[in-house]
Order: sequence, then C-alpha cells, then structure tokens
Amino acid sequence: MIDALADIDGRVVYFPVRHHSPACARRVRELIESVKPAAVLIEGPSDFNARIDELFLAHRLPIAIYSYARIADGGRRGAYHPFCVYSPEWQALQAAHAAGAMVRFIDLPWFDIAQIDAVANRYSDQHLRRGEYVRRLCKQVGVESFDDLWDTFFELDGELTLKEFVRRMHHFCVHSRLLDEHVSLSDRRREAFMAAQVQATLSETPGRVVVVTGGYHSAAIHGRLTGAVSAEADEVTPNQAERQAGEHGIALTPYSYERLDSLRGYEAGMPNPGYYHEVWHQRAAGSHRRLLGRVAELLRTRGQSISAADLIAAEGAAQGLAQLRGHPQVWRRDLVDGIIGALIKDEQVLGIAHPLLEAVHEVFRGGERGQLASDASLPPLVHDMRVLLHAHGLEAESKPRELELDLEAETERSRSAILHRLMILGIAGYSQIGGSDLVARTDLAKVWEQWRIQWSPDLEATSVEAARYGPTLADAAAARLEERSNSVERNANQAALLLLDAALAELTHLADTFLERVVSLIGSDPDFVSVTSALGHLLYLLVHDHVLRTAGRADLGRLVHEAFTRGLWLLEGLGQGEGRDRERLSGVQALLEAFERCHDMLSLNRDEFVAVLQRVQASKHQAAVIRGAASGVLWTIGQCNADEVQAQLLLFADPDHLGDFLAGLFCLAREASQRHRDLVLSIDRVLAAFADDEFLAALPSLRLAFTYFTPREKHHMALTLCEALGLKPQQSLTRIEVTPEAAARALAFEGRLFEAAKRFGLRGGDL
Amino acid sequence: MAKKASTPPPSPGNGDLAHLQRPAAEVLYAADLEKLIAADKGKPRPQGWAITPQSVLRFVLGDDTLGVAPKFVGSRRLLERSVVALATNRGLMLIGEPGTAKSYLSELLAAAISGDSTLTIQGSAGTTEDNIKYSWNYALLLAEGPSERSLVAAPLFRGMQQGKIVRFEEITRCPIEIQDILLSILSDRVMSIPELADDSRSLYAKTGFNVIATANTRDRGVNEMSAALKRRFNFETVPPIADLNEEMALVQREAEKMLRRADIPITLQADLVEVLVTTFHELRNGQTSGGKALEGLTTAMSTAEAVSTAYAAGIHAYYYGGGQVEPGHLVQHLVGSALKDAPDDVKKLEHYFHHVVKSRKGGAWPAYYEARKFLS
Repeated sequence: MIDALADIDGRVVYFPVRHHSPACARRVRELIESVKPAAVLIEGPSDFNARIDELFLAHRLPIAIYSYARIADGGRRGAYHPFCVYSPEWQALQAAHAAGAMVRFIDLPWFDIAQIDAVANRYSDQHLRRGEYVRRLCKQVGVESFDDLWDTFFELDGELTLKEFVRRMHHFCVHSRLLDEHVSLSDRRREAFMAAQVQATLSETPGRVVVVTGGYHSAAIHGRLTGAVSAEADEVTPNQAERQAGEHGIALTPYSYERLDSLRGYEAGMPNPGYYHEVWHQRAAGSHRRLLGRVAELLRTRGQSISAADLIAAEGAAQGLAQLRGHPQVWRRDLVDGIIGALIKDEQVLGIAHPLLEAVHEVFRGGERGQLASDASLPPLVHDMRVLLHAHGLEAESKPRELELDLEAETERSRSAILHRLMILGIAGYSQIGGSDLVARTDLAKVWEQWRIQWSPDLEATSVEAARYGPTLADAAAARLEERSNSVERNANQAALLLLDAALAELTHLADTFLERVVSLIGSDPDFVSVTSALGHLLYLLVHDHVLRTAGRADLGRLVHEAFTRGLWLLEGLGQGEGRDRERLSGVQALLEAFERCHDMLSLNRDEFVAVLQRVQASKHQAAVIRGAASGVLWTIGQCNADEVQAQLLLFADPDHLGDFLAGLFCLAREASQRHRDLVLSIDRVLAAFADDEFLAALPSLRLAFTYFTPREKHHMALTLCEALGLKPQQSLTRIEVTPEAAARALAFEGRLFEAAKRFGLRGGDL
Repeated sequence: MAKKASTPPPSPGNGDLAHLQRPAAEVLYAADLEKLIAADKGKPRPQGWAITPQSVLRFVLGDDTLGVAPKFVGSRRLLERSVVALATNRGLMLIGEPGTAKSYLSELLAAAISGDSTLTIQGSAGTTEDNIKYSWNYALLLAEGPSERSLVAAPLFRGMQQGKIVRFEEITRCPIEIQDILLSILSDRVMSIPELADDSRSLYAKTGFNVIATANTRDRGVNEMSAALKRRFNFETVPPIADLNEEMALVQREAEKMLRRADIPITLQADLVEVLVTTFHELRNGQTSGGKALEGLTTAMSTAEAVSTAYAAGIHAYYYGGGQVEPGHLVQHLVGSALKDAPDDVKKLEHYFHHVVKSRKGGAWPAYYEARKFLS
C-alpha cells in the first residue's frame, strides 16, 4: 500500500505534511517545482477558494484564514488555518502559483463540522502526536517527546532524496494511524469530502495533480480514490440547502508567533516557531550560534552576566549533545540542553520557570507578528469595530468628548460593554475617567461610568495590531483576556479581576479554557487574603450583580465554590500573624458571607465549614485574632452559644491577646456581641483584673477592636455595662479634651507615680 | 597501592560477594558492563573511557536488545547532559533535594565510565586537604624523606594518576577553602606536589580523569560556593521522580527487596503503596494531583524516605501486627521515619489529611484517613 501511496511519478502525487514543518515545506516546494503539476490541491477551507488570490498579495506573515459560525447553542465560534513562512501549505500555495498551476483548498468548510469538532487550530498536530506508535518509537529511538522524534526523523535528515522523504512520511503516518484508537466522524467526513474534490479535479484536468494534506489523511484519501476504503453513510456532507443555514463567514486576519506557540493540548502544533523560522531562513550548520548569541544578548539586557567562556561552554555542550544523539548538526534540543547544562548554576525547582530558560523560550518563540498587505481588505476586526462604533455613536473625533453612562439603562449598558472591550484591547483614544468602583464596591447606589473619547493617530495602528487576537471585537477581547490570564501566576485575586473585566465587557461566552485557568489560579494561590478577596469579587458577581447580569450564573457558582473551599483550606493553614489582621478578618468575613448566602444554592458543606472553624478556634498555632474570628463565625451561624464564647474569652484574658481576640470576635459577630449582657460583663471583669501597666499594654489593640462598632453601638454597650453594674450614668461617656495618646501618657505617668509612692510607703496598702 | 593502576579490587578481606552489605556498582553490575564493553569494541569514545557515551546511557537507563537492566529512573535528557559534561573539560555537579539518588547516579556514571566507583571523597565539615590530595606515611617519610614511596595517595590523586572519575560527595559540606582545592585541578588538570623532587613535582591528569560532585540543596546550598568553582562545573538538578506510577513501582520494588533481605515474608498491597507514594509525591511537589497548592514541608519527602517508611511499616506489621500492613502502620512511620522531629510538619500533615485525604474515596484512602489518629 505504501508503495502506491508514495509513488511520486504517478498522475496523482500525495504529499503528506506535518503542518508547520520546515522540512515538509522545503520538500513540497521541491516536488511542485519538479513535477510542474496542472493542479495543486491543499488541505484548507474550500469556502475560501473564491478569494484564494488574496493569499498572493504581499502580506507579512504569519497570517491566518479565520472561519466563524454561529452554532446551535447560540454561541459564536471560530477556527484558524494559520500560515507562517515555513508552513508547507503556504509554500505549496506560493510554488503552485509561481508555476502557473491551478490552486485550490479541498477541505470541508469549517462551519460544516463546527458542531462535532471543537478544535480551533485547524493545523494542529493532534493526530500525529497521540497514539501508541509514537510512544513506542520514542522509547526505541531514545527521545522524550514526539517533537524530538519528529526532528530526528524528518527535520534533521537532510540527506534523504525527495522520494525517500515522501516514503518515510507515508510510512510514519500510516503506522500511526493504524495504531490510533479510532478515527473521528469529523475526520471521516473531511476525508470523504477531500477525496471527492480530488476526484472532481481529476475529471476536470488531464494533467498531473499534487495533493498536499496532513499526513494522517493522505492514505485515507488515496484509499477512497482507489476504492480500498468505502464510504460510510454518516460521512455524507450536508446538502447545499442545509449548509447555507446559519450565520458564518471567512476572512484573512493577522496572526503571531506568540499565539502559535501558546497552543496546547489538542490545539498544539509545532513548538518554538522562532527557532524553525530561523532554520527555514538559514539552514547551514552553525546557524545555531546566532540563536545562542541572541539568548546571550537577551540575558545581558536583563542584567545576567554571561561571559564569552560561558558561551563557549554552552556551544561545546550543544555540540557534544548533538554528537551523542547522532544529529548531523546542532539542533533545537541540543542547543537548549547545552545552555541548561553550561549556564544554569543553581537548582531548577519544579514548576517555577528559571529566568534563563525563559529567555531561551522567548528567543525560540520568536516575535514575528503578521500584517495584511495594504491592498488587501482591512482585517475583519477593524471592520467590525467601525460598524459597532458607528451603530452605538461612539466614534472618536478630533474634538474630545466626555460621556456619562448609567449602567442600569439597557442601551447605555451595551455601549459601556463596547468601550470596555476597546479598553481590554488597548485601543488608543478611549479611556475611562470616572464612575462607580466595582472593585472596592463602596458606593453602588447608582452604577455609572464616565468615559473620555478622542481620536488619536494611534487609533488605527492599535486596532490593526489588535486584529491578531480575533476578527470581531468580542472574540478579540476574549482572546486578549485569556492571554492575560495566562500571564497571571498563582493569584486568585487577579484572576477574579479578569473575570470582572469580562463581565463589564459582556464577554459571557468565554472559552472553557479561561474558566479552567481561573479555577486553577484559585487552586494554586497559597495566599489566604488574595483568595478570599477573589471570593469577595466572585460573590458580588454571583449574588448581587444585576447591572452586569451575572447574578446566578452557573459557571460563577462553580468558581465561588472553588474559592470558598480553597479559602477554608488556607484559613486552617494560617499561622501566627504577620500584621495583616484587617485583611485576614475581611477574608473570614467573605467566607462567612459566602456560606450564609450560597450554602443552599451551591450546596456548601456545613459540617465541613464548622469542622474547620472548630479546629481553627482550638488551635494553638493560630493567631488570637483568627481564633476570635472563628468563635465569632460559629456564634453567628448558631453553632455555639454565648457561654462557649465566654469560655474562649477567658483563654485570652491576658493583655497581649485580649484585644486581638476581641477584634476577631467583634468583626465576625458584631450584632451578637454588642447586645450580649453577659459577654460585656465578662470583658469588664477581665479588664478590671488587669494591673495598670497591663491595661496600658492591652489598650492599643483594644482600641482597634472597638473600632468595629459605630459610636452609637459603643454607647449602647456602655449603657448595657452600666445597667448591669447598677451604675447610673449621669451623662454619656465623658469626652476627654486631649488626644488619646496624651491621655495614655497621663495614665502611664499616673501609674508610675502611684508605683513610686507605693515603693516609698507614702500610701499604705493597696490603691 | 597508588602504583598499581588496575581494575578495582575487592580488596583484602572482602571475601565472598554475597556477604557484602553493599557491593560497588561495577561489581554488582559487572555482567552488564562486560556486555557493553564487548558491544563497543573498536568504536570511538572519549579518551580514557571504558565504554562509549551511548553505552553509558544504556548502562544507566537499560537496553532491551543487549539485555541490560535499567538502574535509574529519570529523564534521558538529564543523563545525556551529564555524560556530555563529563566528556568535556568541566566537572559535573549533581544537585538536588536529599534522597533523589544523586550519589547513586554518580556511582553508576563512575562505574560505567571508569569501571571504578570507589575513588570517593566524602565531604564533611572535617574534610581536609589530606583527604583529598595526598598525605604521608610518616615512618617512611622520616626514614627516607619525601618520595613517591612515602606518599599516600588520596582519591583525587589516584583519579588523576589513573585517568578515572573521582566522586566528591556532599561537596558543599566542606569549608569553602577546601572546596577551592579543586579550582586549579579542574582548570589546569595538574596537581603540584612541592615536597617531591623536580621530575615528579607535578602530577598531570591522565585522560579519562574528571570529577562528579554532589550537593544537597537542603542544608547548605550551592549559593555559598565560590563563583570560580561554579564556573568549572556543569550543574544538573536531579529532580524527584516526576511520574507517580513510576515512583509507586519503585517504592514497592525497593521496599519489598529490603524486606526480603531481612527475611520478612510480607508483600505490600498496591493500594497502600498508592496512598503512601501519593502522599509523598504531593507534599513534596507542594501540589495535589488536582493542581491545588499545598504548603510544603521542611522535610524533603524523598522517594528514599517513602521506601524506608514502607519498609518500617512492613517490619512493624510483621513483628507487632497481624503480618498484614495496615494504613495505621504507614501513618505511624510516616511521622517517625519521615517527618523526624518537626512539629510544624506534623501539623501540615494533619492539614493534608483534613483537606485532601478526607475527600478521596476508594482504595485504601478512607482507611488511611481514619488512621490520622496516629498523627498526634
């Protein structure tokens, strides 16, 4: 079978590729130049065929063909066919065009399979990467990953003839497909469609035809044409009438190496675009030195000292590794390993990026950003923006104007969302200058915003720049937010703020990956204050927010649940204080609020909540303020009674801890504690038992504790106390006409005075 | 003895191999080495090496076609970098947490490259220059004056003279000035012996000589090491085993091997090994398998500690239990043999039980959670 498949002298030549492989790109060019075919058929969206000439304009790569469709659940989804200079598909296109051959894309339009195939990078390596064959080959060859295996077999072996190369490719792809678990419905449909397109072309032209597709599909298409594979019923492409239903479209859009490199999982393609870019342009042995030089340069600009001797050592190690691995020249992994071996002089900690490795990755990622040719239509994003801005009266003019929006009004709300999307993308000329603060949530009686709009020369440039994030304002803003979420590490609070941004911009259909990312940011955040402050934001969005219409959203519910559980987890691990008592208490408050408001909606586990608090309350390792807070929470939710709280109070009846404990207690059980006569009396008794200097020592933290009450509440407490003691206050508490500090100094002085008097026996007996 | 350069010795009094507590790697795996030497006949290799660099990898990671057993669980790339470093003019510094098999790896590399892993300097606060370079047989010194006969060669001397790999264990435990003895040796590859006559005053290293040092990142890190010395080494971090399944297999295999050697006919159930190794794995990485961040312990929680915990639990079950290892045994020895004397760690372990173990169902997890009472 492989013999027939790999015959490059037949009428139809099947050229299998790995998308974004420079070796395949070079070979496919070679093939087309030598075969001079009448037609070149390429795996790519056939609904772009009418506009295929746009691809021959002077674009700066990387660019992508973007297909979008509104799918059944109402969501809008898009998919990319990205091209960079070393893409086999790109080189095939250009070579065919230069040779005067007919060029066509033969893949199914994406919207036909959007329902059953969620992969957005249409040139991903998902087929080749997986599977038992690759795993076994890696072991046999002695490499650690598919990418290394690929380099060894295809990129590095420059000695192969074109014929041998094609044969080896087919051999590799056929075997990986044979050991693959199953071929998906979407793949079978696409292959049936592609085979039909090849058939149609063959009857159209008598000349030779080159078919350039992912190597995984070559054999299947060939099999269908030769009759070795028969079509199944479910592979039929929907008929014309059905296909046109629903909104969909296709356009060229700029792309970037950052995006290409950030694809993971099913979406993953060839890594390190910057490296392969370099290899495509400069393949001679020794070209790795330029990359090494660039890494060194980058490190030096970041203040690391890299000496010439270091570079020689890295170079030597890379050469040695290439030799050990049998590579004819220093390759990607050899260079990385050479640098790691020779330059890193400290411990590499799991999960923490080493600055040196980051520099290497940056150079290997490359910084190319695409731009559409000036005679091509503007990127779809710019068009979409113009339409939206015009429709909502938000166009920027040279004369600045200010805009006040009341978010409770429907129309103004959607204008605000558009402005927020522009902000997320950093479009010049639009800035928010005032309005309600939804982060601090201080005064939300009226939710409003104030914006300033003024045309700036950067407006056009920033919008074209932003086009690489997506073809519509909503998609681009969502993609940008996702990118930002990827640069956040272990910080739940920042993740929650991103979510707030998303809500303000009405990006409700954020990708699952974004939510997963937020979940993992919450889970990996080791800081109690940050997690609980995130909980505060999330709780606001879930419970209170009717302006942004996020209240009750199921995905938010999951996040609140996550943050609540994580918060409890971290609460128990808090140790003795480090001076962030206020923030920590707000954290406990957020936990209590989440529990009180959501324990039904999210089925938060009460037993778990109580168990954690009881352990915190009893733990000697916890700070007094947190133990007080735990008592407060338990009292508030009715899990313990006032007697138990008073018993706890006695544990802290020393000047160092009393104030802290009370601060925690008052903060979390404010209502209960000010009205409880016995508690007030107990506090009084504890205080009365303090000696003067003890009282003075306890005073600052006591003052802090009582600030949780309003003056009126304090007055009420004082009255309670006086009544209980049978005193009749003549007037409300005396106002002292000096500062508290002066009063404290006076008291201290008085204390010393009495002390001295006592020492000299001037006043017999006790005071 | 320094004069007789040849294959290492089970030296005087060693007698029967079977009675050695722990034979050297080149003795234990002599058969594997022979196969590789035979397979390498005539192939180019760095000067002074017993086998080719490719075969060093085969020796350590195993090779099915030659029937060489794998001896070390770890990344191939790490090993490739290490072997290449040894073939260049830099030394190799293996660093990492305690219990990540750094010393074992250095022993395997020395055995494979030089056929001798016994040229070992044990670094400690008391290590002196004499322990590293050479000292004197004082009787001969007094009788004949300084001569090659009265010189007593230490491992570094012998390694240079015989063209072999020298192992320097726990190098960071030595004072800095002792560490720096290596400076001139690694850059100029010559040791001067000022006491001797002119013609033998300098010892030039024979090809094949190099140094593998190991350093523990827990107690006294590599930060204090002089920059000059750092420059003469390629550093490799030996990470703990990344793959949970591989670690479980290793712990089960090693613990049972130890139990057999102690004549204890006990096997460890797979679900118990799972809870034990998962605990070690997660606490060490500071992360649960679900991606939740955990507070790290001050104890290293190495694979080696997991093996000794399993071993201790096995002994406990055999002598004091019903001959069946229970989760309770594991928890008790987790505290005793792994956590040692660190009350904070016990608390963190309790936290781990409350928030991670508790929510796990199936296998030995519920019983393991019940056994938390042994923590305090």
